[in-house]
Amino acid sequence: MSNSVTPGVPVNPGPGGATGPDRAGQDGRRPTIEIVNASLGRRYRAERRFRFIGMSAVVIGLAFVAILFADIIGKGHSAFQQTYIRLTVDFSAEVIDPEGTRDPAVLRDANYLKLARDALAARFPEVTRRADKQALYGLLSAGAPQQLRERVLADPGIIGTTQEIWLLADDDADMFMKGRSTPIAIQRGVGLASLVPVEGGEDNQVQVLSTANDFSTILRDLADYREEGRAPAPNPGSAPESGPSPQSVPTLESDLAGQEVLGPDLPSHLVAINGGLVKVERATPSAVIGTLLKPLTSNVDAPAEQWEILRFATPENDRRLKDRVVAWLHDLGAAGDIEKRFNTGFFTQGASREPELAGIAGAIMGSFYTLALTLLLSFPVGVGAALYLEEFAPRNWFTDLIEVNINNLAAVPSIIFGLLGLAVFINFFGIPRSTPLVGALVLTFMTLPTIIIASRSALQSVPPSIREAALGVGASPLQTQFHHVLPLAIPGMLTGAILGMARALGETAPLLMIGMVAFIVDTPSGFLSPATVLPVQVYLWADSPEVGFVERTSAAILVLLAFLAVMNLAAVLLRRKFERRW
Amino acid sequence: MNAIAEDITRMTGAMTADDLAPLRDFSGTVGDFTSPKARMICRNVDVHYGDKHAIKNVSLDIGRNEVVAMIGPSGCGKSTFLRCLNRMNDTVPGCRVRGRITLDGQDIYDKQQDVVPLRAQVGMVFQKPNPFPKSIYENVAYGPRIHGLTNDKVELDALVETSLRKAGLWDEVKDRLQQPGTGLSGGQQQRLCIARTIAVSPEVILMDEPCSALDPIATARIEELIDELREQYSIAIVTHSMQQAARVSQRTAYFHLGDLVEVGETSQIFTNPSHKLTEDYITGRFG
Amino acid sequence: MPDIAKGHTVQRYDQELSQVRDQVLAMGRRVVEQVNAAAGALTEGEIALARQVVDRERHVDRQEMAVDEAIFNLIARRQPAAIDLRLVMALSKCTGYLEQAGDKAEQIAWCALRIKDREARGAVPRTLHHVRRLHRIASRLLDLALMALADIDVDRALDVFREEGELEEEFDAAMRHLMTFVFEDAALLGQVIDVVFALRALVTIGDKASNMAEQVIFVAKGTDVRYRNKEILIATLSQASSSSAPGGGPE
Repeated sequence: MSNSVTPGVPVNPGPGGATGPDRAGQDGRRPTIEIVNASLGRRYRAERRFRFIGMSAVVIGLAFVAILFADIIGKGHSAFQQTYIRLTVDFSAEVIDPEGTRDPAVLRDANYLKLARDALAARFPEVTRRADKQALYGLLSAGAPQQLRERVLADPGIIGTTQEIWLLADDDADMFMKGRSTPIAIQRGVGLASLVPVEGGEDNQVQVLSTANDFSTILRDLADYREEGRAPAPNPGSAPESGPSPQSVPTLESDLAGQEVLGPDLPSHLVAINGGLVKVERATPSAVIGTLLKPLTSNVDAPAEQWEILRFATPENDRRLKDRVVAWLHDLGAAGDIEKRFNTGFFTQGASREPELAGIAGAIMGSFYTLALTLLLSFPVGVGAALYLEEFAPRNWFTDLIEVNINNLAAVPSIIFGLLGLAVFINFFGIPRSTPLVGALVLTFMTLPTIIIASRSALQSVPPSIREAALGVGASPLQTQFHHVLPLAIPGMLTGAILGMARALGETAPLLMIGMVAFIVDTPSGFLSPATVLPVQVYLWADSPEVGFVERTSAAILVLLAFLAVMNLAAVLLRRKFERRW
Repeated sequence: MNAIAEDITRMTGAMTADDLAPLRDFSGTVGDFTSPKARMICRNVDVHYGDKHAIKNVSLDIGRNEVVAMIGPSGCGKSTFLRCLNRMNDTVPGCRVRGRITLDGQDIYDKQQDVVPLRAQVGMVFQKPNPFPKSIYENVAYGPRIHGLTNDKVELDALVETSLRKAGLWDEVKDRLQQPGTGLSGGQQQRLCIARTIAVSPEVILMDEPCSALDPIATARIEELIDELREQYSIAIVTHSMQQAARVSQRTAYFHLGDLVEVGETSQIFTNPSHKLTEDYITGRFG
Repeated sequence: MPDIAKGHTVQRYDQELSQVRDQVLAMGRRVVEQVNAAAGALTEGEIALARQVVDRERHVDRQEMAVDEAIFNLIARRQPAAIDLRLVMALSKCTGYLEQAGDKAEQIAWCALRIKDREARGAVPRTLHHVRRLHRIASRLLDLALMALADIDVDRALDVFREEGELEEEFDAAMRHLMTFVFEDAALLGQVIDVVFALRALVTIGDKASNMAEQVIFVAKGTDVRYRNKEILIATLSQASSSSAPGGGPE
């Protein structure tokens, strides 16, 4: 019995007081259970802490993924829709086929641009100025004439008739329809609005008076806008020094004292009244003076709720669409002649400089050809190499060296493979650049180590008892491998191959080196036609200045991600389906 | 006088000096390692794994219609020796086998000898039941198929049935031949493996601890099966269970650290082993 | 010589084996006591001692049953093999032999009682020295056999074989002597028969000792030496145990 009793603590000599601590004192140490219990709390705390840290890591990771996806989807989802404008097109025989030959060559070369423009001009007869007309024609995509040509070529019978046709809108119009140009706020008129011609003003200037202080919102809005520091302080009574629509103000009436002058650096306000649109240039709480962007149908007073004030939050100078064009689009929209439809062209068309004409079909086909060839080249070679190294090769310093190098190869930056491809395949072997063939060769080099490593581990995971069983009944080593080991290892190998392919699908850097970054309009038709691939297309679009390409970039990324997800899912399903238990 | 003594000896079976042979100093094997009906004859077999001398100068015969059990502590080389008999050691890197092993007079380590027919002649059953992850039928049919033992489907079907019957498994699986072999119980799997082995009509069957993963009832069935198979095949079995060796074998060989210490009739080994090491092992005095 | 029951990896097995052996040896000691007491009762004519022998015979029987049960359990649970198996089998057999020896002791005690009943007329005391001589030999054989069994000592076992011959010789001599008594006075026949019974019992006890010695040889050498020519056996085994001795073959 140990005498190590804590000093100062009276020792209970007899066995009478056999309480917990006493019991502990009797053999000089605390019972195990007490020691365990004492440390138990600490252990559980440590466990909880660890769990919390782990959960946080997962949550943070998931949050980043969620943010990424939200951003991409938020930006990209609108690319799956495309704006179309309905126009009444007169397929005038004089323009298309003045001689009436219906010769396809003639039909193909006809001036469809003129047809489209004429239709647009007919829709907006009030547009007469040359500059305005150019802007109006800009509403239609460069692809619109092509649409008309296809229509005519498909059915020459429509020549000489008048058809209502949905034509592709320009990317600016498209952006406007998707709300990327400017937010539009609409405020119903409260008072009775009367229209008064502006004395001494230009023909198309008009003054709108309201019985209520409807326009004070405009003043307030401008004041807010200035307060935010996004425009210079007001300079009452003086017109802005510069601007596309300088207004002379000598004839201002006295009741317009305290007016605000709206320039192109400020949010635009328009008054829609009596079928016309007035762009506000000067404003007081109860009256505005502005230019008619769209003629009025009548000059009668408009009662409350029958007129409205439109507010374009982005100043005219900050957007590509001028107020005039916005007015036309608004008009089209009001008439139901403009709408967004599913963007099939995005999936069927090749690359283009025009965002509304640009599609990913070329890139998808390029990726398909490249990856198919990559799989064809790398899978058999990779599996063969893995089989040989794992099952047949003697173990010596040489095979060890090969193994180390394969593992190293998997870690080589992919651009090095691009350089290799450039130096060896293009410069030495003379394989045409920019083709899926050379791309596949480079990607094969890149995915081979992955496939070999995955295949080897798949082979290793086949239990040796199966090999023994096969050898034991007298199968030759090759039969053992092909009858028993390989079937069991194939799911793992396929999984590795698919993951390698997924990596190859997302690879850009090596392909840049071998010219797959070229701008290629045509959808590739084979392994030897110039092509680009999805990630490179993303890279190219991300570089383009047009706003329309922003959403297309995101949409292409979405498509790429979808492919990757499908491939990974396929890998998982394959493994599930063919995984054997033994 | 001398004649009378001889008579007495004959009549009473008096012992001779041989009967009570003193323990030989350890060098070489105690007991008779030959078999009058020898099918496999092993002489002076040495096995090296790299630097390790795994089997030291072992000579042992495996006779017709007999079960030879090999016992000994772990790492004594009994499995290694078993694997020499159908050259499964060939697959082990760094393994060298010296000595002479013949099957029906043919040196199996001869340069001319192909291992594939050898393994068809000397089948093997492993410690863990290892049916192929295929159907029961395919498991049994695989060997005959790769060796081309049958001419058509009918013959193959018959062979599969015979093999399964011999393995005592037919009644249990005849209705589900197309189901995976891995779905059977452990004992059934092991009998399937035996059926797979006998489907290629071997002459010798090697069993490497065939019951170590099985419960006693399954073990008993395998033991019964081994006893039946003895009618047709020569069987060498490695086992950790001394009772099993005592139950199934006719001759027993005790291995110790790569040496074949003692060989003898199973009844003699288990009642009156000659060598101290054998006795210590058998009576549980080891280590 | 190390204890042959020891050395198992499972030490409990060691204990169980030695326990069985100790039980058998204890039984052996009791049987020796019984034999001595019975012979003493006969030669000294002590009725009480004879009755005590008869009473104690039951203890021997109980001991036999206890040993049998212990051996039964040991076989079922340990499945002894090789030397352990031989030892267990030998112990089992020895138990039987000892029990038979115990029976013979009781028989002698009964003889003592019957002789006392008939109130011997002088002839008996003159024959009792045969009983003493035979008893000395039988008792020594039994002691030797038990010692041999305790240590599985082959040499002691051989001593038993060497000395058991005296027993027969002594018995033959006693028979010849007793015959003369009967020829002289037929009325002594009843007494003489009882004495012969006692002598025969002692011889049997000696045989049992010899049987036990055979079992000792069986344990030590693994060879069943029952029904063998003992002289050859002695010659062979002496030669074997002293390997330095020149090889003098059996006759």
